[in-house]
Amino acid sequence: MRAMFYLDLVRMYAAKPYAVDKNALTTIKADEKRTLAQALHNERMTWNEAFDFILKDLDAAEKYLADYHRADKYTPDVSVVYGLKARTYQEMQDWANAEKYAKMAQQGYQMMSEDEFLSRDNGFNSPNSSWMFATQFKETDPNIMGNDGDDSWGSVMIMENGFGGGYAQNYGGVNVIDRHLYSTIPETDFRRKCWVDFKLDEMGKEEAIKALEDYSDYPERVYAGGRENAQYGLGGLCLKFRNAAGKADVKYAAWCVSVPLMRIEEMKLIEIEAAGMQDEARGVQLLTEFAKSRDPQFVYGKHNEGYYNNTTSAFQNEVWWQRRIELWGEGFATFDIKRLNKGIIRSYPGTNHLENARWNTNTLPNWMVWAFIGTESDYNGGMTQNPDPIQPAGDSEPYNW
Amino acid sequence: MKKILSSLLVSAMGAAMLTGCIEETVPQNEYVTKQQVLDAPGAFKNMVANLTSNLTGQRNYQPNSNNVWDYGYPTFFLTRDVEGQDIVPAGSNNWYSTWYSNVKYMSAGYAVTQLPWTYYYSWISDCNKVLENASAIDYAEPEAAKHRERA
Repeated sequence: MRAMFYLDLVRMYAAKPYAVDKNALTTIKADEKRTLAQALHNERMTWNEAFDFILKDLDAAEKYLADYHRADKYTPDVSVVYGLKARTYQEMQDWANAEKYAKMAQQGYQMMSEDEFLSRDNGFNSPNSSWMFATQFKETDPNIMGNDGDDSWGSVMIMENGFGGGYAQNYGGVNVIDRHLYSTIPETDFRRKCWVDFKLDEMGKEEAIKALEDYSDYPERVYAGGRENAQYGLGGLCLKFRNAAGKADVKYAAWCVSVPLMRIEEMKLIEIEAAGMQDEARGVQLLTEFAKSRDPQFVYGKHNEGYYNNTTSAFQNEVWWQRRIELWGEGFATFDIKRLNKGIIRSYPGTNHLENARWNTNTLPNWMVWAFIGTESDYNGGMTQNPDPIQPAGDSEPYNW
Repeated sequence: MKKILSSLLVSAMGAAMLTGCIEETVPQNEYVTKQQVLDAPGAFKNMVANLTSNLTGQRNYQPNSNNVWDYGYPTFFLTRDVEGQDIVPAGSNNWYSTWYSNVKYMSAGYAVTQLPWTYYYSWISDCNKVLENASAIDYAEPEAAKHRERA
């Protein structure tokens, strides 16, 4: 667990991507041996120091969990340790080890089928054969019991509840897919059905609600959530995450969902990237096999936009695109942009990004290098702070793809 | 029967455990051994279970406030994902806009920057306490593993 937390932290706070500077500073090491005196004068770990620390934790976990059998997927077992090692070696670009551990991690799991991926009852709300590790909101949790459960993952991500609550459905806070990314998903790729087609924005209410039946058993609720309550529209609304089966109308059990923390599909994509970085032909073959399970008509070579960094290979861009679609909303976007040292593109013709946030950056956005809170940097006299983010002064000129 | 209260246990488990006590065994003094902590009914097990049960749903940032984004590990999925382009935190009332369009507030002096720090380092602190109480400091073999091997 500690290694998982640190792997997140180093990626959030790293001053530069590992590929750019292996000695860039990451985050503060606070282990069980640290004294107060050390804490007051504690420089951040470099990437290499952090990887050493994380891998030592994972080595110990691998050893002591070798024969451990967990009761459920809310507790890690050795397969999760393998998965964390795969993530770590991927970040290190140690492709041989990334491939090795990503393959080991997959043992005993199965990729989600189309029916599982698009299930209106169990879509991304309960562990299945693909989930390796998960967390769960429970009815007794303060976030569910307090404030009508509105301060919860389900509230901000699920659009189908029927009791007038939740930010995504009722209070005007929808989290939607980037229109350009959506436009790059072929119609034959079933994952496209996780988001509402932008052509519904051209429809009147009756026609749009009828069209939403293709996405939801509660088309009126989705319609109201996007167009009336959020004053946003319909294109790009997310139907990937669903209320717990049969609970859409049950306060506040509707929000008692599980959230995946690791899936076999991520491991497959690490294995594929790692294989391809050693032998591109092998990687392309594996990637094609993976993608055809999502889109039987998949053709390699159509998803390699560089986002201002064309030093990453077309193959790596193709894997990134699969990760962006497959793992959308599961917390990998910034990590991948930073790892691959990409810029971002929000301003383009027809964009659904919001005014005053239509920023294109041809380098890694500076706000992906998180500043440390002053309560740490003020008292820890030994640390180097990251600079405060600089917000762009205005929207960027539209990018032409 | 004479009972002792484990200060080590209290510090590890918090005030909720103040009423808990364990039967005195050797050594007959005011201290408890790490083994006694391990042997206290459910104590160490709870400490370990806390590492995962505390990941979500606990309002760890401000327990007495209603903050939409104060629900644990998955909130950081969104704070990170909206920083790029793949997720648009849209709508008239979206609480993830700071990480999307008001990035100037992700500075050292703002509360939003405290959020990940509070969460992640409290989780890490909990991990450290487990290691301390398992006598696994600096990758020493945990007590439980030694016992398992002897069994």
